[in-house]
Parts: sequence; structure tokens; C-alpha cells
Amino acid sequence: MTNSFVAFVGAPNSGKTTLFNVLTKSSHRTVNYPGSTVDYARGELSKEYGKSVTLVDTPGTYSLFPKSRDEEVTFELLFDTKRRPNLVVVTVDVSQIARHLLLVQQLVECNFVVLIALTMADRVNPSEINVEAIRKAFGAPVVLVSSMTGLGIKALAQEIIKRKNLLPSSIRDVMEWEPRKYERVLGQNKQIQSHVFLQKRINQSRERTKILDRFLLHPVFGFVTFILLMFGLFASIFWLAAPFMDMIDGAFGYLASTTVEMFPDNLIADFVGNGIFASLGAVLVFVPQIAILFLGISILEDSGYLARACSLIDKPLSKLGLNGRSFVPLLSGYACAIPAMMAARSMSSKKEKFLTLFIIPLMSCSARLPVYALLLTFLFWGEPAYKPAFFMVLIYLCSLFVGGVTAAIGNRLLKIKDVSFFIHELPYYRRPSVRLVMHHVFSKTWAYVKKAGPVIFVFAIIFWLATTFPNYNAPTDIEKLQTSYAAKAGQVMEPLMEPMGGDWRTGTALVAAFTAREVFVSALALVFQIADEDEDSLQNSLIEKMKVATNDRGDLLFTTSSVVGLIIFFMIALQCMTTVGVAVKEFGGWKWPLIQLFTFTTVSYVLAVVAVQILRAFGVG
Amino acid sequence: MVIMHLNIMTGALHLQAKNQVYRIIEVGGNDVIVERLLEMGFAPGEEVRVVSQMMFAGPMITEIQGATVALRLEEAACIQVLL
Repeated sequence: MTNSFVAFVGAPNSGKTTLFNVLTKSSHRTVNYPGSTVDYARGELSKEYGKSVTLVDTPGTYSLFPKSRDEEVTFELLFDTKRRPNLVVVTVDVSQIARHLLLVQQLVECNFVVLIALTMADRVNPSEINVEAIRKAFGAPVVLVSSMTGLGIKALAQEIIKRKNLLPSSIRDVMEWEPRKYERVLGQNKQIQSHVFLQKRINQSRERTKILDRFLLHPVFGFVTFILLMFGLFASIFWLAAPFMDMIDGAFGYLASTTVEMFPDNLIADFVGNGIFASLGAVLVFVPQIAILFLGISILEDSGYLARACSLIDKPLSKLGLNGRSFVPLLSGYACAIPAMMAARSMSSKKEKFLTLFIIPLMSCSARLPVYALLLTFLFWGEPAYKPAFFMVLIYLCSLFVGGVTAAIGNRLLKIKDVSFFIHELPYYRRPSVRLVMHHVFSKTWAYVKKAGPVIFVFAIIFWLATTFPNYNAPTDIEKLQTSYAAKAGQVMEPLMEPMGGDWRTGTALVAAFTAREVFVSALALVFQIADEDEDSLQNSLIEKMKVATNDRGDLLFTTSSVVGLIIFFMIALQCMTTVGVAVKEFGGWKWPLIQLFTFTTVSYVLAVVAVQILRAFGVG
Repeated sequence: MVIMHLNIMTGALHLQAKNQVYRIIEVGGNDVIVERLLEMGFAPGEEVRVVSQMMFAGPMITEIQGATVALRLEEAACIQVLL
């Protein structure tokens, strides 16, 4: 990293990251701190302000006494002797001055060059604010800003540019603060706060929050609303996304079949149609679902509701050895385990963090959606739509149940003694900014496409090669496939797949799914050469092929029992290598990720086999 | 628990009634928890209001210096207030 940089520090919910996004025009990226496993967002001050300055966003912290991994990151960045920030911009919520100035006081005591950004100015009347008292008390410049209205942003950028090359003479270590000191400093801060507001005014955000909380935090209605909101969120993933998914599916299906039809018996056209279009389409089709889930999470988070949801669910989660703070990581796990695991950094207790990280891969992530969608559509082909929808809900509830049981078992087995606490600030409700929510949704969804896209592309090539060669001139497709390299490789798998009701084709698709779960669908699409089918969508072609697929003995390959077995396997198995990689980083070693990989995959296989055999014993095909 | 101390009645916050304002006298208990409470503004001399209480003995919602903070009953028990 460059030598000079400006660090953004502030309490959670003080508007720090939003301000950082505004100043960098959101063109920042997460970088790895050299020599450690710490991630932070780094960006350049937007060009419109004239000068180039490196800005670094740090995880929110209330003090310089870290209690979670997140807060340690901030601490390590500030006190790294080799790369000291030239300037520390501290965000102080204008409605929380007395409390948020505690951090300013600690930074000043340690000799940092501080610039105070008084945020959320849209909540007050700027003409009634006098920042002079703060400036005098800390000897630091103060700028009143609002990321929502843009007030003071330019002035803040200029102040940053003015000070970007300053360096404090020497940084002092943090001295412990006694309770009496907190008492004294808070008292002083309250004095300062009283000078800032020229008029005694009614805090409207606070009043609105009080009224809303009376209902949303009500012992009974609070829970009912919570359950309805969660139900609404997951229902919208299916209902809202459906038309968009049909569009994408139809478009890629058309591209694939047209390409193959246009050049019959052409190897390259076959590759482009069956290999690239069909497999990419199989993955892109559920981008709408991911986007909607992230949209819901962003709106809930930015409005301030998510913090309340954590409090509502703290008690039930604590019974499983988890914490209210596990809620956001677990909910994110329904989108993707990777950001979910990183969200667990805000947790203080090591044991609770371990348990949360351990069960995140069991949450039904969006990569499983296309697999379930395909398998359920297959099971309920031609039946009313509410049936697959009902079973999808059932799968989600099952995954929640499996996660809960796993956490409860882990809670018994894991012998880590540490302090568990839940002291959680509930921010004022506010209307989420459309721009920021959209940015969030777009960046998360794009990150997903970027992660999945290349993997799928490479596998499409490998799979197409393996299923087409060496006998690419075979008279029939079936023969071409049965003599292909993929078939030979898959035959090794066959003894393992038999008890699950599969053959080498499901086996190879399952192995491929270990790179990313959604590859399962594209692998099946490749194995069955679906672009040759004359159907209006990829999914219809694939299901038609699955309906008639038989194994060597002529028995149907996809039956109710074998499909149920596959669903159970996908529910539990840890098939995402990217997750394992992130888990190594978040657990701080290979031990736990390997335990996860081994137990989840073994248990899923055993349960799948048991389910298939029981169903067959009861005469279900 | 009610302690008589120089004719002043004090009690732990987790036992206190809803919609009342209390003055904090002392914050004591586990070091990490005490420090976090202090950082959040639960310092001696401050006023705290009990807003509500979650179902099944879940977290207590309090108001401290204009901020709403949820805390478990165990943590609220660390806060001694004037009755």
C-alpha cells in the first residue's frame, strides 16, 4: 500500500462507511493487509475534489479497546508502527455526540491527527448547529456532513486534502480507562453537546423511532412482524424473481438451440450451444433471486430493522450456543456463505463465532436454488405451482433445523470458555437511500457472477471435451456419451452412486458441483446435451431428458427416491471450495474447515442413501 | 436485590420496571462487559430508561443518552441504579 493514507474510524451506525462510499464514489475494493489476514476497504478520494488521497475504511468500533475480530482490525490498522495513518477521520453522529466523542477523546489522547466528521446532518437544522465547542475541546477541525443530502462533503474533502500529509510526532499507547474516567469524559462531552445545539429541539428521528419501536419491539407483535417480514422476504425470492428467471432462461435456451440448429453436425457450434450457452444460462438464471435476497437484506439493514431483529432472536439463538449477533451472518448465509462468514467477524465470543461459522454452510445458499428448482420442478412436473413452492419452503425450514441441531451439538462438544454478551445498539429508523441500496445489490450480485462465471465457463469447456471425445463421430449421442472420457471417469464413481440411486452421470455432476453447487445444473445440462432439444426453455429440455434417462440396466435414473436423495445431499454437503477457503481464513486454520468438509459431506451422503433405501423399501420408485 | 447504603436504595437494572428513568450508580461485573457498557454510555451518573423487555426473558431494550440499546438481563444486572 502507498505510504500515506487517511483512515476512517467511527462507531457502528455512525455513518462511516456511507460517508466513505460517497467520498470514493463507491469505487473501492477490499484488499488484504500485507502480512496478515485482515481485510479492509481501500479507495481513492473521488477525482472531482482535485487531489488524489488514499482512504481506508475500517470496521466500526466504539473504543480503542477491541472486543471482536472486527474491532481488532481497526486497532491493528491504527497502531501498526510501519504504516501509520496520516490522518484519522472520525465519524460522530450529530444525534449521539456525547457518546461518540468518547472515541475521539481516546484517539486524541494517543496523539493521532484527527478530523471530526459530524454525520447525519440531515437529521438536524444545520443553522442551529455550532461546531465551535467540539473544535475547541479537541483542537481538531469539525465538518458537519450529510451523505444523504451531500451537505459538507466538499468541505470535508478539502479538509482531508489539506491534512493528508501530516504525521503525528509519536503515537502513544492506549491507557486503560477506569469507570470514573468514562463518567468524567461523558460528563464533559454532554457539556460540549449542549453547546452544539443552539436551540433545544425535538429530535424527530428519535420520536419516530420510539413510536415504531413500541410496535416492532413489542413482546408479541414484534415477533409476529419479524416472522411475517422473513416470510415475505423469502416468498419474494420466488414470486418476484420468477418472471425475470423465465426471461433469462428463455433467452439462453433460444441462443443454445438456435446455435446448434444453424450448423448441424458442426463441432464448434455444438460446443458453443451445448457447452457455453447452456451452462452459462443454467447459472445466470438465478441471478434475479440473488439480487432480490440482497435487496431485502440491504433494505432491512439500512432502515435499522436488522439490529432489532438481532435483539428479537437473541434469546432463542442463545439456547443453541449462538448469539443475536449470529443472525446477520446466518441470514446472509441464505444468499452466499462467503460474505456471511465475513460478517461473523463482528462477534465477540470466540465460541459463538465458531458455532456460527460452523453452521453457515448449512444455510440454504442461493447456489442451491437452481439445483432445488430443477429437482422440484422435475418431481412436480405438470402439477400446480404451489406444490414445488411448498416443498421449497420445507427445504428451507429443514436446513434451518439441521443448522440448529448442529449448533446445539457443537455447543455441547466445544470446550471454549469465554464471555458471552449481547449489548447491541439499535440505530434510529431511517429511509434507506435508493442509490446506496442499489449499489449494494449490484456489487453483491456482480461479485457472485464474477465468482461463478469463470468457474462455470472453465468447467463447461472441460465437461464438453470430456463428454464429446474421443468418439465424437459416433452415430448417436447416447453412444458418443457412453464411450466418452467422462463416462470412463464416472464409472469409478458408480459404486458410490448406486446406493443413492444414481449412475456415473449424476456422479460426475456431483463431483463437478464441488467447485460450486450451481455447476450441478450446468453439468447435467452438458451431460444430456440439452441444446439439441426443441423446447422453449433450457429447463424444459433438461427435464424432458431427465424423464427418459436410464442407467445401464435400463431402469429410470431420476425417480422420486433418487431425486429426494439428491436434495438431502445438497442440503447438507459442503460442496463449495470457495467457502472452505474463506472458512480457513475466518477460523484461522485448516482444522475446522476440514472437520466441516468431512462431517457435512459424509453425513449428507449417509442420510441420502438411507432416505433412498427407505423410500424404495416402501415402494416409492 | 435491594441494598441499603447510606440511606440510598439501589437495585440492579434488570429488575426494574418499564417506562421509568433510573440514575446509574455503579457498573460492575465481568471486565469485558463493564468496559463495553461504559463505552456505550452506561456510566455512573447517567440516566437510563427501560423501554421494553423481549419475550421469554430475552434482551431488555433501554435508552441511554438518546440511543436505544438492547442488552441481555445478565448485562443489565451489572448496572446498579438508584431507586
